[in-house]
Order: sequence, then C-alpha cells, then structure tokens
Amino acid sequence: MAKRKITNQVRRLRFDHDEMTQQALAEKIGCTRQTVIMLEQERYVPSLALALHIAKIFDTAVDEIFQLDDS
Amino acid sequence: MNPQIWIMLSFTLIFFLIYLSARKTRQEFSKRSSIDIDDLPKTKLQKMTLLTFILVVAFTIAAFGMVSHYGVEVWWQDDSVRAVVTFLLLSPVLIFFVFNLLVEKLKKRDDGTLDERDEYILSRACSGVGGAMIVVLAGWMLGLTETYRETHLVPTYYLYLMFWSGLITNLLASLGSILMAYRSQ
Repeated sequence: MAKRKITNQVRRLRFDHDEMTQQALAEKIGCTRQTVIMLEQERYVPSLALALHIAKIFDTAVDEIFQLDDS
Repeated sequence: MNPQIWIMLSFTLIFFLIYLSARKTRQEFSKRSSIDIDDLPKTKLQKMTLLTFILVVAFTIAAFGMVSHYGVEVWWQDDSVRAVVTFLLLSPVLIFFVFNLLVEKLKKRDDGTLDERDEYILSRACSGVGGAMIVVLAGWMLGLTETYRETHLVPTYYLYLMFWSGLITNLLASLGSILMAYRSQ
C-alpha cells in the first residue's frame, strides 16, 4: 500500500488565532516547539490524542485541520 | 596489522556512516522545508542526549589514548594504568546511567518538556545498536585473526578490551540513534 501523506492547516490556524506563536501553541498542547515546527512542516503526524487537543485549542474539527493527501 | 588499528578503523567507519546519514537527512529536509534542520530549537531530551554523547566520546577517546600510549601489555600489567583506564571506561557507563535517570524524571513531568514525539524517538534508541556492534566485532575479528594467525594464540586481555568496546559501542549507538532520529522523524 502506498504511503499516504497527511497535510495540515496548523500554521494557518495559528495565524488566524491572533498570530499565536509556535511556543504558545506548544505550551497549550503540552509539547515542544520543535514538535510544532515539525507538524507545520508536515514532517510529523501527531497521535490522535494530540490531534484532538489541537482541534480543541483551535475550536474546530480534527478533519478541518488534518487531511489525507490522496494525490 | 595491530588489533587497535582495526578497532580504530571500525569506530571511524561507524562515525563516517553517522556523518553520511546526517548529511542525507539534512539534504532531504532542506528539499521539503523552508528551514534548516540544524536551526530547529533543540528539545530538552536532545540537549541532554548531545551532552551525554559528547562526554561518552571524550572519555572513550581518553581511555583509548591511554591504552595506545602505554601499549596493551603495559596497560594489562601496570595496575595504576589499568585502574585509570577502567575509571575512564566506567565513567561513560555512569554518565549513561544518570542520563537514563534524568529521562525517567522528565517522563514523569507533565509540562510537555518530553512530549509524544520525544517518547517515540526514545523508542528508536536501539535501532543503530545492532549494526554498530557488528562493525566493531568485525573489527576485532579481523584485527585479532590477522595479528595472531601464525601463533593461533590470542592474549586474554583482548577479551577484556572486546567487552569494553562492545559496551561503549552500545552506549554510543543508543545515543547516536536518538540524535539521528531527531533529524529524520
């Protein structure tokens, strides 16, 4: 099975929320700033728990943030 | 050729492979990202691992330097030299033990200092150990068989050195695997 890429809107959402800094988001979701950077660079796919936590912070649904890239 | 040279070649090969791997991950990262992998803010675990790695390398070089300087026979017969080398070889083990204690302490904290990605990377710590051990054991095998091919007698002190080199390789490969995982995960 081909490896599917998961894209995300974390960077855009962070800017939409009063230009929240990476450090502020990291503190809110309980992870390191490096993890936020890797998430935004789509180099790291978070666990379901972390994805749900991010969705809660941005007050939106998980599938509004993370999408499966079928291309 | 002297067995020590073979072991030095083995360690050099391991470091060269790590360097090649680090360069490749950096290139791949640069292709897909706007930032440099080395510019990323270091996590607490990453800093601790790097410091431990540097200390283990420093003590290992000091121990290897002493054995090379005095010669294996003198090291084996002179109690004071052997005591100093044993101290230099035991220190990395103690440092690694302290490192593990601190990691366990970090795991208990609930402030995001050690997050799920760090824990995943920690679980990759053993990934490079097998390969590195094989390279070092191959170094010993080649060095000892080539040196003592004629006599068929290998001095027993090499067993002692084989054990220590295996142990140090294990520590370095574990720490190296964590550092490499930060570049690729």
